[in-house]
Amino acid sequence: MWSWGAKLKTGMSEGSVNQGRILRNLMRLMDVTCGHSLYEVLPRGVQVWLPELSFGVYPDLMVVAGEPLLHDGQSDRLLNPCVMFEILPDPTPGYSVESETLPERGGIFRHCRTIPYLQAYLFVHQAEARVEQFYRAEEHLWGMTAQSGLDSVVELAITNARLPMMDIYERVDFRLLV
Amino acid sequence: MIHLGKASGVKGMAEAIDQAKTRMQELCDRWGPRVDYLAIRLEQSEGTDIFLRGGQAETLSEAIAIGGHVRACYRGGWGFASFNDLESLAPCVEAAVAAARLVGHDETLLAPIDPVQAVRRLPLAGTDPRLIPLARKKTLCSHYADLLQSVDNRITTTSVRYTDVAQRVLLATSEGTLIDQAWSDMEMRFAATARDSDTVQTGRETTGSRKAYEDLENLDTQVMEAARRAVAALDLPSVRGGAYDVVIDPILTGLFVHEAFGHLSEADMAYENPDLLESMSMGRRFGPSGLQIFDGAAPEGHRGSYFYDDEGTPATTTQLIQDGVLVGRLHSRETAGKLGEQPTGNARCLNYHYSPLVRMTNTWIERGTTPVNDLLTDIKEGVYARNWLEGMTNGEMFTFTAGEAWMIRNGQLAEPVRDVTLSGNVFRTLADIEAIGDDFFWDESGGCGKGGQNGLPVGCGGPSLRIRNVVVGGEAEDWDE
Repeated sequence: MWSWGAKLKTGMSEGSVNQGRILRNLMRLMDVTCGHSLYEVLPRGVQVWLPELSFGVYPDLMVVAGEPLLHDGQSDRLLNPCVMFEILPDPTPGYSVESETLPERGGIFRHCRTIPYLQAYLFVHQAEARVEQFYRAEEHLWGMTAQSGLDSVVELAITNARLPMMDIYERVDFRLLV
Repeated sequence: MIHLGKASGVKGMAEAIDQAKTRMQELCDRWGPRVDYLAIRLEQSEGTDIFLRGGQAETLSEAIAIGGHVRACYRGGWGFASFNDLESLAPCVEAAVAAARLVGHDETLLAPIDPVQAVRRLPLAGTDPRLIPLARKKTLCSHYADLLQSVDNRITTTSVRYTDVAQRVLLATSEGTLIDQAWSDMEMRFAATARDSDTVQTGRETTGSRKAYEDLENLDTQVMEAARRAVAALDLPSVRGGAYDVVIDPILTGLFVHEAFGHLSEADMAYENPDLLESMSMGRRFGPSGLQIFDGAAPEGHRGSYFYDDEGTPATTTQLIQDGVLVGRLHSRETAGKLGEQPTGNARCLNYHYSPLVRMTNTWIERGTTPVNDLLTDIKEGVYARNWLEGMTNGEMFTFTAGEAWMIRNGQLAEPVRDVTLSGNVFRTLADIEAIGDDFFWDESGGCGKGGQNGLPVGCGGPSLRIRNVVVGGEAEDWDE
């Protein structure tokens, strides 16, 4: 779940228990995997600023390589996430090999693709064990991989992090309504 | 990577590389017998990087570097070590050999090639970018940035990137190959973003050359087109989503053949994926009888042109689709060996930090016979799409965003529309090619990404195509969603 900077300057959006669990698990996994290297993991609440669009967004989780770059020196306007996570709030159709097209994943991701530092953007479903990763193959070309099921592993396109789905979805109860 | 003072550094590096040639051969002779295959690749590069955002320089740099890597193969296992200090060459050979012997437990299968001793330079048709002062390159970038900004007061952001690199690569192998080849590569990227209230649109242009610095000059019209497209799109309606007969221009054809089809022709992708290998069965019909698709570094003068690949295999031209039927794929020596096919000279690495992968070079669809003006004929309601802004792929699936587009009504170009995305499955789309235009254009703007090795220069070419039943998405997204 995302929040628009223009609409929600402070505070968290409301979320389900499962969403909270996924967020906690991702934070824990990412921090253990790459939090002590040149990467820094930042949780929901930090605004990513999109200067070309003059507004900000609040990712669920992000990774910054090196020092944070700030727009005009403003500490609440970060410019350089290299990985962003979005936990999908509702049951969302996933990609299927039988599908005619790639899944529609517009929304804020569309605008975040203008961030030159962004290398990977991950959609984490909460109604099923499913993660879709869009990674930057070229400046304006993105590749996509999808993992389904608790036995698979998400390999991030950057940071060398490997995230077992079992750990991403630890204690997540798919029987709960989202 | 070593960064040296430019004037003395280049001369010093050239001498160091010349001296290293003999040393590389000696090490191959000495350590080669302990493995099945040993290769040392040494690289000297000299490059410029300029980036202007809003006319202001964010990056302005010149760098020279030297580095190399060693690959050893023993009973099918690979050892790899890279270095940026020539003193480390011998220890790296030892390390790569030791690693290969540790992991190799099977059989080395490398398709044979004849050893080659050669010194080759890709010829320049004009000025070597290394002879142009940094200040002149910066002035060129500023000129283009000013042009982008000048198009309309609704242009909010512009960006101009200039890169050039001159590479000299030495390759020595335990089989007796010793190749010394060099080339220069240049690229410029332009973008303009226009905004009107909540509507934001972007226009882009990219160009590249392996021939002359002059190829990057006098691009005023092309550069201004990027800004003009961004501004014009502000007032256009979104296309209504649906399935349409679509005509695409040669640039979109080039993107399609490279991104949607070409990567599936890379044998390492197929070898590692049995389902894909079955999908890419030789003899399978993919398209109409007039469809011919090629890849090759042998044609001169394009971004993906060279003499030998990074395993010393001579550049070739490989026909991938002949008369609509799959007849070839792209190989390294290892994939060719494992699949019992001929190596095609497509093993490339971005730089010494990486091992070669199977990569495309120049990929194209051959021109057809339908007069380009006739491609629209008989289309009652369709879409004509030119150039591209963005793409996404996942194996067989693709989505490309057109740079600009028009509706086709009753066989004629009609009103312009925006937010045109073309989506589909590559196999279905190839089969749905209805007509192949008699035009042709080489797009030299390509940079290819694979396995973390992004920005590898490639050429893409093709004619205009008419494709039936393409899923076209549109409808601008609501900013307040």
